[in-house]
Amino acid sequence: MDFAEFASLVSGLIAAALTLMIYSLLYRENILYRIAEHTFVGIYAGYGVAYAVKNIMDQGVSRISAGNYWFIIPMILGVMLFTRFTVKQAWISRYSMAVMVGVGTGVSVRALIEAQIVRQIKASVISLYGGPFTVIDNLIIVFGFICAFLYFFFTDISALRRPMSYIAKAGRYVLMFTFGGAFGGTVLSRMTLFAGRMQYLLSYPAYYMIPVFVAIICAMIYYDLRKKKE
Amino acid sequence: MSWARRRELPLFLSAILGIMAFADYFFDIPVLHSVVSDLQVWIIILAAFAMFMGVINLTIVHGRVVMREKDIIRRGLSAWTLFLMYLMAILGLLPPITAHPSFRWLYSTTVAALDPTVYSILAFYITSASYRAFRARNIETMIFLIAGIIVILYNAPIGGYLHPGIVTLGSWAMNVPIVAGQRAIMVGAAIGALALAIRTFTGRESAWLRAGGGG
Amino acid sequence: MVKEFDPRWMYLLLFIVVGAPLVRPLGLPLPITAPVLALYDKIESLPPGSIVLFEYGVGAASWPEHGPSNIAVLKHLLSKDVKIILIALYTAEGPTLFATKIKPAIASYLEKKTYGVDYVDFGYVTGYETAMAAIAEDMHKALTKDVYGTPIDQIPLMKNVKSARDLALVIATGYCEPYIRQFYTPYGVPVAIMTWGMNAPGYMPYISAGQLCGMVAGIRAAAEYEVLIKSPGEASASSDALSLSHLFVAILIVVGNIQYYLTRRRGGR
Repeated sequence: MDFAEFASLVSGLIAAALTLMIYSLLYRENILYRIAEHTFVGIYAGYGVAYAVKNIMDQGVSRISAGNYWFIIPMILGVMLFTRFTVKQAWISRYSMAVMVGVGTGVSVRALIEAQIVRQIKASVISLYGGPFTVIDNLIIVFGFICAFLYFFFTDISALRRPMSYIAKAGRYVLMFTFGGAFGGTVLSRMTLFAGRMQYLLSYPAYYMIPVFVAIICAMIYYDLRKKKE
Repeated sequence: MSWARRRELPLFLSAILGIMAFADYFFDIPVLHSVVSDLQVWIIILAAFAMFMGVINLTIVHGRVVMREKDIIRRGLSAWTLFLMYLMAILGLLPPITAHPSFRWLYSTTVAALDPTVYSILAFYITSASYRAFRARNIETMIFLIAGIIVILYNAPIGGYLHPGIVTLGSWAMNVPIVAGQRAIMVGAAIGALALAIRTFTGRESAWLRAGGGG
Repeated sequence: MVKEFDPRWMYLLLFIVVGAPLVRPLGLPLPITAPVLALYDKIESLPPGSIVLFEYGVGAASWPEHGPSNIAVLKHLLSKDVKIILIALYTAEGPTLFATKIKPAIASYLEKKTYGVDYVDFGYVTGYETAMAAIAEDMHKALTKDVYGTPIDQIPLMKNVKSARDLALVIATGYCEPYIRQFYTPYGVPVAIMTWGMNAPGYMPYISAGQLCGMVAGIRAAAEYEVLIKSPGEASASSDALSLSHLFVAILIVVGNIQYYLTRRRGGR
């Protein structure tokens, strides 16, 4: 076994152990879970540092060294962000935040009107001609959209008169159907993650950790039962 | 320098920059275009600096626990978090920066395993809630559950195997009523975002200022 | 009876329901859905020499959902005569997962291509949507160097690529809205997304409005893509586990409700 294979074996075993340490939470809160949780937080936070430095070097320092001194300003603004952690000088960071919030909002909102409002309303203006099923589907899309949208403005159905109360109620039904669909999607996402982890745990060398984990859980159950008896 | 501490100045700055970035999309003004184009690169640089915030914040929070906490387990866990955070940061900075084998090894061993596992825990809670909490108590919850079951069976390859109609029904649900509902949510959210932008452009949106604390 | 039930038994059952088909696959057929087929057809219809921006911002948390789709779509792209600009915008984890998981999976496809001529990798760039806007407007201004430190002006592939106008397709990972706002709406570049399964219902209006030209949502869709390119991978392997776990949840909802009605008829809560 060469060094790369050995490193891969150790990595696989530690990763499996950490995975099972997280799943131990399903039995009850315990120290193994907390160790895994803190390991995750620590490493994840440290991970971004190198990428931050790389981006500062590539995007900031390299531009300045190429003679674009104008880019010293965002570097200074970047350093100013750190004053947020002080009490007296925290106001300085507001200027950096102002640049981020201002430009960020302007850039993201400028195409929003067309992309998420105009185009969506336009897409709802659809033909009511065609086969009987097409007509019904298109009617559901058009009136479902209108009713659901109006429901945001007329949420308190009990305070509404007819026919507005019917429209708001229909809107609520459309939204409930949509949330049901979203729930179905969430099941898919979470099961995917779990299936992915199971796939990993059942592969080499991770499966060696399963009996160890089962023994630990059995020990925990035994300990809990004895404590209960006492 | 007391004038620089005033809240109005950063609010004015964000409003001006926001309007400039917004206007650049609709008007062809070369000077404005050049400035906004540079400002976009500024944000790339600023966002890189912002990535340090988590490290500083965690150092303060866990540093405090290590220094002051009496519980040995909590102290130990915080010290472990800080140790790993700086270890990872140092490994990442070893040349070739962000690509050192030890940096990748530690990431693959820990984060690549822990991150999806933490999120997958929700699969268990969803399963448990499906049995214990999802009750068709009225028409609304009945509609919710029917839609949920249709989409669940549609998403599972076994759905079409059980009955071909499930695929047709699922496809209809995704393309007709869900499109109507999601479109309403989308347009509603977009109008909300637009309102927030207008507040920013007029200097009325000050929620982000509070994050800075101090005077 | 319902109140006394210990959910941990259900957790154990879920381990069995998901684990069993992974050990012994059932090999259930997989119908192809329209959004997946749309992306496949879109790539098939790309003229030779087209330039595709491929955003591989996969995070570890979403690897089971995004990883297999990234691999399958990249395999498809690399088997065609198209040029690929690789970049990560969504998360800094992208380059590490690309190097450790995606690259080994597509190694045989990459061997046939020349770096810098057929594909180029810019790694992770901070700034997300603002960075997207900058890249779409002027790539040579927004991106200084590739992942190996080569200046953008010295990369042959980038000589004729200046802005989003030169792109034939954008394929991204994660959320689709920023890409629609920064690439499709201003420049008309077709956008396709590889997203979480739970985002599929939310993105249907973009598909129906023609703002998304294709979508691979979650591992099921990734498995469909693997079927389309005839290269079974990670997604196909977990397809049966997904089937049984979904069926399990659907049965639990139905059983729970039957039990609720029976209890209510007997006068309970």
